[in-house]
Amino acid sequence: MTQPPISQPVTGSSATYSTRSYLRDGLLIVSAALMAVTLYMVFMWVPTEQNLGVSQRIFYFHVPLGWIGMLSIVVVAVASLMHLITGKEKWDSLAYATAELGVIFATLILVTGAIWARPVWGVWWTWDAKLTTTLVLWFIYVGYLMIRAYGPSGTQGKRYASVIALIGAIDSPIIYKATDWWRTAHPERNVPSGLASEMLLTLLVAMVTFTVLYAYLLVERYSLRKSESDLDELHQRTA
Amino acid sequence: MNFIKELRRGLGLRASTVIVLVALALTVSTLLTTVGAFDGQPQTAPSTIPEPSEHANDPEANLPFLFAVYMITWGAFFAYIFYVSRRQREMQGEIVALKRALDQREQAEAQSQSES
Repeated sequence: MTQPPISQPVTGSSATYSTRSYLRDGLLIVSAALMAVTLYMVFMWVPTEQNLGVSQRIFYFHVPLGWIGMLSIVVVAVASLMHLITGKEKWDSLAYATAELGVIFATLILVTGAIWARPVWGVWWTWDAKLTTTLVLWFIYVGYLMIRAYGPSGTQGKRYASVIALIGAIDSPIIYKATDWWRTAHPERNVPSGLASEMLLTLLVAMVTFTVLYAYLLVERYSLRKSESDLDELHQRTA
Repeated sequence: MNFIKELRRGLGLRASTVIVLVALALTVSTLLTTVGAFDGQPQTAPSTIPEPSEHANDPEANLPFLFAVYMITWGAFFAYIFYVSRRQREMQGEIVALKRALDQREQAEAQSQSES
């Protein structure tokens, strides 16, 4: 097999690396600016909710984290499906990068939810349908990463992990509909009629902010995954 | 838009379109529905959940919980970004070193071939 010349990058071109670097910097700056705006709105601008007090402000982080956690598993599943169909490495890299982010976001969903529940419900945790299905999502993410770390190496391990991701994606609509299907203590997802416009705007800004932050982290982790692949390839050539 | 271009370059037009459409559909549906979490009134709690704890009427009583949430979230993000950045730097250094070693090996091989 003909090997690429060593003077060239293993994959991609220098222009691609440069573009990715600009993209990372841009997303980081936008994310930081939006986060500053979000923090100002959450702590200084939005009124305190009458029934829940300041603990309601936890939702401005908890709800966007939940959205990103669910988005991540869908991205992992789509990328895994494409990897199974096409066998291309880039899909697997995307799935792996997103799964790692998914673990972080799912962990934060559970932790922030527990901290909110303590003063409001009086308990850190209850086996509520929404909470339990979210915990299952966390286990799915961890299972995916464990398969990658300790499962068969090479193509077989990637295929096993892809199947785990596809099965795990079934949990996403279950979490989403949990408040409809079961009697649950978790606030339901109806559109409130009397929601203060400041609260709605703050939530929307927080959702956008976390989505940009997620995009930044994804590009960063995807780049790292590419570097890992490049390094593996170089190790094989030097062996 | 840069992110879209990057995705398109990295994954191809068709794949990027699928991802963007899925993300858009999820965004719209989630934004329309999850704002319900801001109703302020938790649903009727199951019998296993006790009554709210003391200071329920004091709006400032739960500040430590709010503080904990923000510290944990920020701490996790900073730690992860630090870990990824450091790992990226280490890998780039290793890649450069390996490329240099390969270059030297190829040059040595070429030299020995020309001598023979």
